[in-house]
Amino acid sequence: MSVKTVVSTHTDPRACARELRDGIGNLDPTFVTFFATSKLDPESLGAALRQQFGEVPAIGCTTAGEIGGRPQREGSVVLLAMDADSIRSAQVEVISDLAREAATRHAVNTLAAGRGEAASALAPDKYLGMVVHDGLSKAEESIMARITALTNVPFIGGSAGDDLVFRRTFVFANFRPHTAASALALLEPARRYEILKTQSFAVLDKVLEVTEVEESTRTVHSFNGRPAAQEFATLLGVSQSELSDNFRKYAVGLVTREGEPYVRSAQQVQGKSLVFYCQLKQGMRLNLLEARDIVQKTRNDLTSKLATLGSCEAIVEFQCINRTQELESKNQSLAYAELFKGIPTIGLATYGESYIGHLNQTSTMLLFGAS
Amino acid sequence: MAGRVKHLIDELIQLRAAGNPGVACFLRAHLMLMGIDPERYTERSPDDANKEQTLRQMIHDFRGKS
Repeated sequence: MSVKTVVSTHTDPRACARELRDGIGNLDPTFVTFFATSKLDPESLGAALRQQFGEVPAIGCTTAGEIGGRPQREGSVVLLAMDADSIRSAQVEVISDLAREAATRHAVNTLAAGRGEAASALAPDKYLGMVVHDGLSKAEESIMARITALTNVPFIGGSAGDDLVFRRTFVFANFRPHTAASALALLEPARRYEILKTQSFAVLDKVLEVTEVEESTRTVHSFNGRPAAQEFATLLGVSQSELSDNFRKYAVGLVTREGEPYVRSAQQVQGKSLVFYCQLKQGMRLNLLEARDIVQKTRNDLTSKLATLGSCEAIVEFQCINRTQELESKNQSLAYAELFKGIPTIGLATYGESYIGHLNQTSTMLLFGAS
Repeated sequence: MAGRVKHLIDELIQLRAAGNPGVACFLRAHLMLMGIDPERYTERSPDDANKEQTLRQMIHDFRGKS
């Protein structure tokens, strides 16, 4: 036995932590990741988990819904424990000062130093990163950009939630809760792994160029030299009053030469401007994206990755809350859950997904191989 | 002058990927998300002081103190 997934729905943090510890049985974990309902007090939960799991390196966060024993649940804590047969070593750092570039540099360099390396020398085929952010910090883009500037090791993860209250989210580093922070784990897997970034959109040939933007508030004032809301509505062939009704069906994306979109979703119309769920930069050229069936696209992408991996012993999924809501509205939650049948899976509904940068309407997954 | 942005992009990718196509792909996506689309720059692209500074800083960050 090298991995174990467990779920607790106890509303008492100590009972919850005890049930999770009992659930992993004799497994001697080298790494733990967990995702917790925001309804449990983070301080009490963290303290109870520390008491049960001791000094095991651990990373986690609060959620907008937990994944563990499908379909998605609420009011629970889901946990994945892995032993040395799966994760040789793990180390966790927290970035508490999100605005300070040096804080991210320090965290990444400390992780690398723990392996006796410089961050730039860490081999991406030997190490893997996991990251969780305060989902209300609006700092995810800068943190991901700084991490990626320092190392070739990919960091996969997402943004913490608070059950759509949008008041306060927490990340956990070694079971200690932090807000206005990001937590990073550097893992040395003992077996093969795959990263999956999947989104269910068709890339259309209609293009929007960002011509005026306020990056800090994720607000685009103009596309193609015209007011952003007006230009987006024109591209969709709808009136401005109908625009926000189309935000789930249509997004925009940066598209790589391989045709891979990095989705940016509109959040609201603000006067003539558009506020997005992630940052856009001056001069970016974005393709219009049209939503397709989430279950079908995820099935195709997951099947392909599982075939590459050979056998899979666990999956960690960071699933956009918008995708979760879309599946629920189309009564597809069970069909989506079926895609993971037979594979121990935990995860969460997020306020944003992380891979190279900060993403929207995407699912990022870590697939751990069984050999 | 022209082409400086492309040269710096090529230098960064050479430095970090060293021929590894997976890392090169990872870096091109990173650059796009930073607002520098590698596909848009050629030898004839006008120089851009802001983009050049960003790229020099990225090269420095990776080569230098990390």
